[in-house]
Amino acid sequence: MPGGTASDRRTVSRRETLAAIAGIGGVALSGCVEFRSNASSGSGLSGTIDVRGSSTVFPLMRSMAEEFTADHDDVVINTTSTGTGAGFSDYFCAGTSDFNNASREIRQPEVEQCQSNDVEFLQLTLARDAITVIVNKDADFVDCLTVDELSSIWRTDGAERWSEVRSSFPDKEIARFGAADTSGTFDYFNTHVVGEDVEHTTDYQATEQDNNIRSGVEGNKYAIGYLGFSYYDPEAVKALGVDSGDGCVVPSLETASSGAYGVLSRPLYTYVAKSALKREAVREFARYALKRSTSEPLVADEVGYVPNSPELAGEEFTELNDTIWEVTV
Amino acid sequence: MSAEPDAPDLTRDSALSDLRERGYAGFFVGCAVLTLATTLSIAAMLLLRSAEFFSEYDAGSFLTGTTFRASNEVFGILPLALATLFVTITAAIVALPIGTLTAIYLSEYASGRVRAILKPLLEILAGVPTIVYGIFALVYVTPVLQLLFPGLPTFNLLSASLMIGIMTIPMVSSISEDAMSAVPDDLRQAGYGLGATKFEVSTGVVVPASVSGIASSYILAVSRAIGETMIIAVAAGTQANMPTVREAGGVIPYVHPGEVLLEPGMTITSAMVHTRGGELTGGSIAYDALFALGLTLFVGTLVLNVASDVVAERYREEY
Amino acid sequence: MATEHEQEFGAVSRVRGKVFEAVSFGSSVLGIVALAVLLVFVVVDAFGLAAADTGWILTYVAALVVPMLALWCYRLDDQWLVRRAGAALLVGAPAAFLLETALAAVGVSIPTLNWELLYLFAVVVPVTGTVLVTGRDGPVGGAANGLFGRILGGAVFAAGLVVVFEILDPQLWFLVYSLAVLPAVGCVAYARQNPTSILGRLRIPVGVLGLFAAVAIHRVFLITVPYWVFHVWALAVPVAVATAWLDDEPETDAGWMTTAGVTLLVLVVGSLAIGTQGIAASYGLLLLIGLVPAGRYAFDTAGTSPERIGLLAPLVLGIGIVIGTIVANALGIAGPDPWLDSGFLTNPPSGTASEAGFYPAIVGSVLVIAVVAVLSFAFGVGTAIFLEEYTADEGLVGSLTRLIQINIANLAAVPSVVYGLLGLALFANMLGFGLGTVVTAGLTLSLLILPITIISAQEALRAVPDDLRRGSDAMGATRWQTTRNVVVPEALPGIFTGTILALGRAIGETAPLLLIGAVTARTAAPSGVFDQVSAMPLQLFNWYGQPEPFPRGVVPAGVVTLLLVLLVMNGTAILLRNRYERSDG
Repeated sequence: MPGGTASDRRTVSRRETLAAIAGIGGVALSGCVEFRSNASSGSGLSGTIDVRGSSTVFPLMRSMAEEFTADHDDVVINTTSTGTGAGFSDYFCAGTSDFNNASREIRQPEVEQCQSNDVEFLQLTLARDAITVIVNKDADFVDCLTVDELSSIWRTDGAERWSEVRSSFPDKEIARFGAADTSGTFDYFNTHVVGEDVEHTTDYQATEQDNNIRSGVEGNKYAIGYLGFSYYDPEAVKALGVDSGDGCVVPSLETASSGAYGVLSRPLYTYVAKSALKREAVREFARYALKRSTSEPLVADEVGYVPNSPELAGEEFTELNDTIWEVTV
Repeated sequence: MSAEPDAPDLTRDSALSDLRERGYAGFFVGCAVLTLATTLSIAAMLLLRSAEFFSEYDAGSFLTGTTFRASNEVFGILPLALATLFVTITAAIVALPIGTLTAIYLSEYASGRVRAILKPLLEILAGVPTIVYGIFALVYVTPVLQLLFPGLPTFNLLSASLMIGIMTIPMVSSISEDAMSAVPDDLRQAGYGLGATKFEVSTGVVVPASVSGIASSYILAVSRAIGETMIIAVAAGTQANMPTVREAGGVIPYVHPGEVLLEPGMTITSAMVHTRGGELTGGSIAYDALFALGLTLFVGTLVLNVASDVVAERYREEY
Repeated sequence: MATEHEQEFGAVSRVRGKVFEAVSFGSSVLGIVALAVLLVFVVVDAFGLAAADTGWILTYVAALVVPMLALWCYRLDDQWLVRRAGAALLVGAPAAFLLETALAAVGVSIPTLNWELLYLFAVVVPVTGTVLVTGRDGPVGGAANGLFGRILGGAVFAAGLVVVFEILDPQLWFLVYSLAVLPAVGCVAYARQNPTSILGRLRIPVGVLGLFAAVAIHRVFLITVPYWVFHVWALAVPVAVATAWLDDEPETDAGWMTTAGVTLLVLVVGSLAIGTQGIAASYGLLLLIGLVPAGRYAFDTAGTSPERIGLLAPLVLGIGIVIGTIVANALGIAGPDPWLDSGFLTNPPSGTASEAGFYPAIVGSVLVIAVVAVLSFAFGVGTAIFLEEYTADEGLVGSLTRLIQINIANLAAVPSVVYGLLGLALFANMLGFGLGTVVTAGLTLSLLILPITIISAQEALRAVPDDLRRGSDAMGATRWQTTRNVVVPEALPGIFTGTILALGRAIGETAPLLLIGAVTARTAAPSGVFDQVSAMPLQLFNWYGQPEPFPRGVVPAGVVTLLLVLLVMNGTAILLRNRYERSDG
């Protein structure tokens, strides 16, 4: 290396520079140090909330989480769609998640698993899922169908003509409009109406957009379709009553939220672990979720479910507060 | 100058140096053994949980069951295996000829410049994440296929299989091309000397001489197609359809390909993904069923891989 | 008779040969073309280009692309290329229009693609690409490419820093830097001057001790100064010092001090100035740090002519955008309606398409990849060194080597979903790293890419000439000394390239993450390795089944983001390889 002495001198000078900068920095900082415990006593919620479970409830819970964390910057909410059962068995009852969304009530083996791991829980109803079966306004021959008749219309190799469904119906071909097999509506209709052991027909106009189902049914006197209740427009089409065994029930916010609408409506739950309610963020989020469960813009318009009635939400809220009281005191 | 600080190492206390030497050697052996441990733990996990599964679920109805419905705790692997078979065959129909022709072009016809451009571009095909291929299949390819096959459902195995085929082209082409490039030029010159054309030399001399490499590239591509998960999981839906088994001439059972490919379907891999994330599934038996499916897959790809090695060994031409 | 036969033979086989050549060429490009078409569609959707009015693309081609290409072609020897490019740009637009009209007359219409988009992707993009690649041989284009490359690389680096400091408390980095990094560097520097001193060997203990002290202090004390101060001290100062150090021009103290001082001054004053514009001064500082390489390049190039003209490229770009915007506004032409915008990159996921973002998933992917990088590098290189440097042909070690080689080949063929099962059962449930945490995801994906890392590292080690090893052995070096001082430094670029390419595979993996229970929607980025994580491919998997506009809007935006991250990673790998290959030759 040429110029060894110059290079040495240069390095010494560098070290001096660094030392000087370090000294200045040290002096400048010395006045700004305080104990962390003093500083972190600030107000506001913080922490991470872990939500697992049903893919049906997932969009509702995610929207609630989105709104909640917009007001509470320091709270992080993880929402994962794992399926109701896997959510209970792999996460919630193993004690690793705070909430478990469920599209059905918890089953006995799951309760036992929770008990064996000392996981106590509280069930909260968030909304109802309701599917409305629609026909053309001019289809005066039909006002009500049984679940079995619906199944015969929508299954593979089922009825092709209305007269095959019921002999009093006209001998016309059925035009079907339904949800694309991508959607949760399809999944639910397929399982609960068509039946678990038979396949949904593929001979229908499938669409991701409920508006198209409506306009399709609007344009054909012998058409039938199904869609989420919030997309049903009484001006354009006629909603059929459904007979689940206890007589004909026409869908409405009341019959849907009371459960009278039968298999086409089901409550959507979330389960919260009592131990998690000891954390303030979890408590507040649970309260927030119940408060928002009555909101039509959120539950019906954004996600497409039937909101809780204020009475139901009120009852659930009291129960939640009782549990919180029991846990924290 | 930079080597100077290391020079004293040689004169240092040999015990310390020796210890360090052994320490590093030990670390490297440890790393290498880790790869063995990975295989062993994969095998152990799969066997243990599968044993658990088969203690609760009859192995016979697992292997011959025609219904796979995790929500009802029915785990018949046949519809999944059939879907896997048809997907693999379709992907192979796309990838094997195209890949072989590509290899021939690259090795025999392409100029150095063209090869320098084409080879990295082909590698991109294998580098695109498979979920992206799945989305391509669902969002862009299926609507085009629906023009050709009216009534094709949104989710179907055909568009997924075509995408897997495109993805596996570079696997066939790069290994086959390596094999073709390894064929000595003497053979080609001899071919030309006999008056053969370039076409005849390519197909009559080079391809037969590199057949073992080509065959093992085929097997690897097929094994990749069997193990492919996300393309199917995204583009082919969540129904495990069992096609009607017909009988040709009343004896040989067969399945109409259209009943599988033009319908939604789940392969073994996508069934694992959907069982894990499905709405209605859950519980310990569904968890264990994942491992039984995984074991089937693991054994299948292992057998293919060993077969590939055997083929490559057995038919290798030594030059 | 004989002649006739020969002619017939020749004629037939020539046709057959030509057809075969054409078919096999077609096959080679078929997959590439298919992918290119799909990429065009996904880009059009991600940027909402189909929503732009007729004329928007032409306006920007005229205002932006043409002047840029003209700059690149300035003083370029290859006049043939210049003429071709100009003609293509000029003729392409009417040709695309005619094509669309002709197709429409036959009754064929290509969905989404109108003639302008056709022109953009079939003419403008390829022409621009060709000119940029060929133009770098010219003096002006070369300088412009160099500048843009550094700006781009710097911007990626700055974005990385921003992400890092979103996760890492700047105060912690300040303490670690002051108490661990500086003292350790000091030890090394001192030992360089005084080789006999024990201080050089103390660098690791000093660093570790400092690290513990820093973490302890961080837990107890809070330093109430703006983050900006930490960033200046722990980032800007070292960057300034490094800039001066790497600059070999000034051999004098004064020159060294000037370079360091000017760099620091620009960083500090510039970031404070940006701070007044509503963006946090810290972000301004990180941005400016990203611009340092470009600045140095500009400084070095400004003295030479005609290269300095290339430095005008950012100016031409800026003016082009301004003119394009003015013209488009004046003519009332609406621009595209992009899904991939800053909101998409910084928002959490949402059920509302217009608000849906990718941010927690991007940070999650980066964190997981960081863990994978460390693990797979350490174990991959370790295994490769054993297999290449420490092995023997026979005996116990020989059999072990053969067994491991076969095993690695088999591991490479195991489907990724099976690795997911391993991660689920072993890391998440048995070893208790937690379902869906960064560390579980990192471990699982590390094992997944380990075979690829090992094989590429082996190739890199094998490429090191044996002469070097023999030479080192002859000097009396032990096997470890030979490996460390001779083999690994020589093979390192190759190892890095292979590892980065393998990481590209890991970042796109979805199935293992699904199986280990990674999170579907996080409202904020993960903040540590034991935090649960979401990742880009997982987010895409959650979005794909949702109704419009997810499939043709949000999902393409996510796909393009994922592919861009991959492009950056692979670009780095290729750059690294080219750089070292060139320096070898």
